Amino acid sequence: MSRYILQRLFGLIGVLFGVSIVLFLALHLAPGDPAQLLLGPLVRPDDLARLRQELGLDRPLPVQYVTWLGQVLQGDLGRSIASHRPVLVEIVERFQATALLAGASLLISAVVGITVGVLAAINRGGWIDRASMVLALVSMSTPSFWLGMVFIIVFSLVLGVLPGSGMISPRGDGGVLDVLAHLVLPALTLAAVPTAVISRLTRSSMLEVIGLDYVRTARGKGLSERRLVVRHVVPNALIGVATLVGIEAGYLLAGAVLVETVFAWPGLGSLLVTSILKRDFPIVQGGVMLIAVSYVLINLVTDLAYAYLDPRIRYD
Amino acid sequence: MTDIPRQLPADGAVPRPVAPIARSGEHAGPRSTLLRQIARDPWMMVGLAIVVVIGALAILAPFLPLPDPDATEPARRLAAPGELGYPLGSDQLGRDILSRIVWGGRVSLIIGFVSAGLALVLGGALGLVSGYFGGVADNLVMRVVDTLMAFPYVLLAILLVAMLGPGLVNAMIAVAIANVSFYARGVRSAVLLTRGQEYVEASRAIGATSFHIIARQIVPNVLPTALVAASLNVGWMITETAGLSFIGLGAQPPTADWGTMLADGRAVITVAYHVGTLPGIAILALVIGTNLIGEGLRDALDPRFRG
Repeated sequence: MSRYILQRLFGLIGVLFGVSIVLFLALHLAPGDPAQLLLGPLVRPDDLARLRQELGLDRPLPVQYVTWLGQVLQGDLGRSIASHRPVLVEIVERFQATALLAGASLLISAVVGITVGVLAAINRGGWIDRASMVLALVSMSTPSFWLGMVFIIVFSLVLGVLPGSGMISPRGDGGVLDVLAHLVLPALTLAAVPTAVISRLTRSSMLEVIGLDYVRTARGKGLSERRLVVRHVVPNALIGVATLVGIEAGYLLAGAVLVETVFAWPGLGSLLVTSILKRDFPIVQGGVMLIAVSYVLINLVTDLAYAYLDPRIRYD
Repeated sequence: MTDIPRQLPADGAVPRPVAPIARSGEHAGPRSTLLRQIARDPWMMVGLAIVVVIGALAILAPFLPLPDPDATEPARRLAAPGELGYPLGSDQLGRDILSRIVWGGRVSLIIGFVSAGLALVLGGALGLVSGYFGGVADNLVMRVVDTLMAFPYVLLAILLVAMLGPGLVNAMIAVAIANVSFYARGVRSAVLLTRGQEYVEASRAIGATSFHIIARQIVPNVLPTALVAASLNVGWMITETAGLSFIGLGAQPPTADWGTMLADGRAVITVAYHVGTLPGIAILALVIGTNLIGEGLRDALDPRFRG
């Protein structure tokens, strides 16, 4: 196991190196001169040249890359063109809100998805099975940004039971309950697709396990259906599902972009969108890097958990 | 089509598939079996019906008695459905929502199929080269794929649009590229499976060129799997591109596009509910339709993945 972990950590360095090159090139191939963006349109050519020199933009690309990577490794991601604040400060602040939203959605989708999948599988062909699988297909096909608007209309505007915008109410105390109330609708919206995906996989891997010989043997021994499902089928069926939950965690961080825009949730996603429209590339670069690194780390943890849960899995 | 028994025998036994009898001018190969299987799958027929209806409306849009989708009429803005002669109401600029939904269908359909096709061709080519030739090519391609896979799709698409600049064509390209790694991986593993088959070795033994083997043996065997993956992917691409338009990175106003229509609807959500909800129902219907077709094709072509 420890050798496997080492191998994976080593591979991780390679991937992160690739990510850094993509992000560096993304910033440098993007249209627009960073120096020009910093100084605005009304600037004297020699001022522009001086800033380009100060920023190192006149040096060859590989040199710029090494310098940039050195700064990034020291936690210096540059400054936002719009706010002039350090990128790291801005994105970490926003990342907390995104992590809260993605975490809540992950919890909802894992609990609901697994429960529905298990119920559908043990009632195969019954109405629970059919209804939940139709619902799963519909919910997989639903654009999250549209579902969010429907939720806002129904729960916020018509019924008036839940807030549909922001994270803290303007006159609220900003306490835990206030944030939780604001969290409900965006978290449910973001959870719709992963819940459907998880429930479908849970159902199919349950059905696969139910068909295995050892389950028949256990049933033949006279085990009660309940004990059979709880002790023998579910634990084995959920190994694969655990991996999927991990993968979904990574997607939720990125998928939050659209949902955050709908609900004006002050997360990293909505910051990224406004920064792209304002051409604030240092923020875009830093934000994408933060999400990509978290995504890679989550996937690593998922793979390790998979290898731990299923001792048959060893990647040599 | 060959005959499909319309009723089950009285004893309730499911009739075994009988080898179709070839009539003159009709060849009863695997294709007709496939068609029969599709015709027997009610969900797939529902999906086909949805996509055909939306497709027909999109193609016929210029000939339908609809007002100009971009014609604004500020005096008659935000009419509710059925009011002031607007069947589905009007938006904040007084544009006819029904007409915009019908015209927007063209954009969404083109996007879905073109980006899925583009991703399939690019990713498929990479996967073929990497799987068939192996060695340095394989290593190089897989390192690039690994790097691209370090970014979640949505994020990669957003990053690419940020580089290319907002716009519908750029959004389409970005969504396609964001999916290239998915196809490259899938095709590569399918190629690896096929390459080891005896008939491929036999071809090589009698001196067939690599080009011949790829074109005549690898591609035909890998294509069904790749097409299934692509058909399951179309719906996601439509949603994703609409999402990019929704956040202002895709289609630009005044293009009648379902994603931008939703963004318009978000802006007036507190005063008019129909502006944002109706175009979303169109997206939902189209994506459900393509997903049903994709799943039906998967069940028919690639039973290994049957749920």
